[in-house]
Amino acid sequence: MSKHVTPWLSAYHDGELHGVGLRRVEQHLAECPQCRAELEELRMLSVLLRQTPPAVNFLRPERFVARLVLQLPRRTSLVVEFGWWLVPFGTLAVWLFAQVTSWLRAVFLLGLDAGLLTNLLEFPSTSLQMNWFTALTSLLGNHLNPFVQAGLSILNNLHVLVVRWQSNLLFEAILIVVYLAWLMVCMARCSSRLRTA
Amino acid sequence: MTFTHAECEELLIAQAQRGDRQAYGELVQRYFPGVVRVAYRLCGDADLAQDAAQEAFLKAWLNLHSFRAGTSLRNWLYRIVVNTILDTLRRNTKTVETALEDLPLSDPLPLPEEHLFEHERAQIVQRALLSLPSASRSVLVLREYGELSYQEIAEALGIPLGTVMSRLHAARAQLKRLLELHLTDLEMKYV
Repeated sequence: MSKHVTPWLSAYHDGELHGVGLRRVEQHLAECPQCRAELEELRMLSVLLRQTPPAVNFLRPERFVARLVLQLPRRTSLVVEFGWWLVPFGTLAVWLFAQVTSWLRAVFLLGLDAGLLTNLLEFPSTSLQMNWFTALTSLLGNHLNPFVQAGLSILNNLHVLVVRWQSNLLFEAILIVVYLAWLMVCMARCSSRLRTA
Repeated sequence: MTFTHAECEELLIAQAQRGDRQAYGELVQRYFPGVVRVAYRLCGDADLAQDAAQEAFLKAWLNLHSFRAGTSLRNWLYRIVVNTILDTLRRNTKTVETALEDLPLSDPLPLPEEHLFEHERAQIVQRALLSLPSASRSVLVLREYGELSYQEIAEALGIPLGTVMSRLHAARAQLKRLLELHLTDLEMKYV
């Protein structure tokens, strides 16, 4: 006789054995009265558990439903849900847009002032001038050769860029705060959902 | 045009997902007996079980939009109620212990002899269930009272299939020993 199949009897009883495992247990049961008796006990145990009613009475389903429906909170609508997900993507989109336009503008102005785009575009230089650059060009404007003038113009534009970055810092800080706040609320919501799931 | 049970349920779920409370009420009415039965078998206290069922249905209502169409609502509800009741038991160990100790062996009200016998047997069964470790008890209750397959139990509890098998085997072996002892004391048999 093969080895007893006690550990597999539960699964066999529940119809959860398949293939080789199922055949092995069936073959063993055919020749082992001890395992057959154990299987019968498992069957009786299931019958006992399922047929023994609870020792208490519960609310009738209709009464439970009537009570529950009164307590159902309002659910957030799809519009609110869409708005909720718009926050991170909107924040990211605004940040990316600001970054890209800022860099493009800087590159465009640098190119324009260096004279690289003059053949392609008819735009006059519209870049802002820092005080030091204005003073220097008004004092030495006629004595500076074009290469030095272009170099000074590039330095001026870099300075303008730095100043703009500083002024953009507040804007970016606001975006970060909005995103972090959304992230925290999101984590709280997720942990609440995980508990339900 | 007539709908099958599954189609009718899908319709009710879709309506409930759109915020229809009446449709959700019908679903609750359909699943309340099973959910409260599982909750009761896990905690052994009718009030606690009903509170857990209520909490589970409220959670399900709030998260109904995340319920995937085509999956079993019953299994999803069982999963929520098992987590809810186990959380409650963890938070409220003292209450549950008291409830266990207070569970009387005989009813204070006079009952006809055959009812008394049934009542005593019911209490012995419930006591035996409660004496199992909560991990094994959850598996056994979902199998015997929730009638979930091993795969569904594994998904509901987030444990491997092999663990479901071993826990169920251990739970039944322990329960069998306990019931043999107590039912023999009272000259009762399994069935």
